[in-house]
Amino acid sequence: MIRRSHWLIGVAAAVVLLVAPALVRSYGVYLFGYWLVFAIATMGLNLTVGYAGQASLGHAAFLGVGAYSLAIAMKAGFSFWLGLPVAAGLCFVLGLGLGFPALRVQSVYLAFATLGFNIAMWLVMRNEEWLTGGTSGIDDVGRPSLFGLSLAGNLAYYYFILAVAAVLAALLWALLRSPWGKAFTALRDNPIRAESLGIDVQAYTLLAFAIGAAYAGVAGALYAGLVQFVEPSPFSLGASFLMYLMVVVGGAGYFFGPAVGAAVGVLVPEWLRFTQGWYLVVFGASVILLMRWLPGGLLSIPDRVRARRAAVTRGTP
Amino acid sequence: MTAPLLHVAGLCKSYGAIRAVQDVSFSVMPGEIFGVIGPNGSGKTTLFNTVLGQIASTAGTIELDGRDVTHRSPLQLSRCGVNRTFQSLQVFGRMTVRDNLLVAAQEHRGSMLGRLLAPSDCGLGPRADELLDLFRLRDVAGRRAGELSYGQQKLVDIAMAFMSDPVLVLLDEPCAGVNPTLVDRIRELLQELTRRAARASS
Repeated sequence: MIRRSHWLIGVAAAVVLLVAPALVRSYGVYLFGYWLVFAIATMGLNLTVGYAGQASLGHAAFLGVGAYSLAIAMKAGFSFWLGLPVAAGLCFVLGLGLGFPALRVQSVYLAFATLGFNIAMWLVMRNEEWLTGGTSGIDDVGRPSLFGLSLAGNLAYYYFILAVAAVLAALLWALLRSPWGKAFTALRDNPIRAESLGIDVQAYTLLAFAIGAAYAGVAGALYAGLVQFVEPSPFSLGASFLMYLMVVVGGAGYFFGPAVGAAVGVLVPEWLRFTQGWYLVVFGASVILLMRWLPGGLLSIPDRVRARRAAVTRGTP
Repeated sequence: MTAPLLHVAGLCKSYGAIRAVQDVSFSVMPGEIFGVIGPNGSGKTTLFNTVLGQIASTAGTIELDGRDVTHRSPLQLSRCGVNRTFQSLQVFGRMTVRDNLLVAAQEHRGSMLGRLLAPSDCGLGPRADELLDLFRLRDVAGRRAGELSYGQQKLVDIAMAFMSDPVLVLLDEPCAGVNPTLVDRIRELLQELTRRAARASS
């Protein structure tokens, strides 16, 4: 159901995404890129959490693996265009490898298993200096060029991230409308019924988890190119919690939830800078209030309004 | 004399000292509608869940079309063409009625990878339309299943079990909590579906 209001919002969003970064200073361009990176990563997490219903608290580990894969590949002299698919593929395989044992447990136990994975990967990033450079990290991560067009400039690289985000969003859209997407939704709604209808719940959850990990891998690789410096701290547990928060705040299971949630998670802390040390308190309090009054996330507002209107026409309060 | 489609022999299920299902044997012939009647708590649902592999039986054998399927999982049984409904409503509330029907049969079409690239309805559109018409659900096909009335959801629930042309459907309390008019309707539907399946297989 695509209504005119949806078209208008879509066109407005496209104009903002294309024009606004050209009008702001370089830090603004960086923030736009940073937001898109997290939008891509949380698109993957939304597939795992929002569509397949699996609680994963290890998403930052995949983001980190993606970033390090690209950085290490480029340090070894390989092209960015090789590093990017390698980052995605490695995270997909790692997602399968982690998911195969971990997805035998559910909910809070799965959260703990993925949390442990995040810590283990973070320790590898920090301690295996021969590979990752340890706490001093890997610097001078390059940016690619495309058809002879350099993407080294901040604005050019932003448009590159935007293009990748658009392609990945389109792929996810198609995936969710394919029979696989129906199976994901079915097993989230009711795994026992799904299984009785022949839906291989284990295989589908594993695939949702691994595809979500691959999205984080691409986001990580783009992140490495964006900041051009990779070190362990952005991939700690805190980042996993923040990404989970982005999915929930935006609206788990809503297609545009991650874009909205990532905007809240990236931009609101920036706006709250004037409060100095208080920003975490304000941010935390607003998230608690949001979850109290809007547990479905920001994008559940239209649904709630519609439900209320329907209740009024039916004459029930 | 044809062989039974489902043959259950000496089936038992105990929870400690409680014998929920004790030495149950019966056969269901192809094309037959077979009813299990008993008061609440007599173990009908436990019998269902045991036959369908949802819970493991303590003793006894289950044969489908002459093959031993004791201790098969619900997933494996579904692959063999055995579907079920549950005592309580089990539709996918956030999906449309039509998608509920499509997802109920898509896993019987092609391979996993094939389904990724297949059209959204896996070629099951005509079958879904047939059942939507039979169950008079055409008008609500685009609505979310969770928004329908209890009776309509019950019909969706039953239609889902028939989507994949199963050889055997086990309906757990298909008429519980349903008004008498709809009970008659469901009975007619089940008879009609059995007739159609018999025609298709002959």
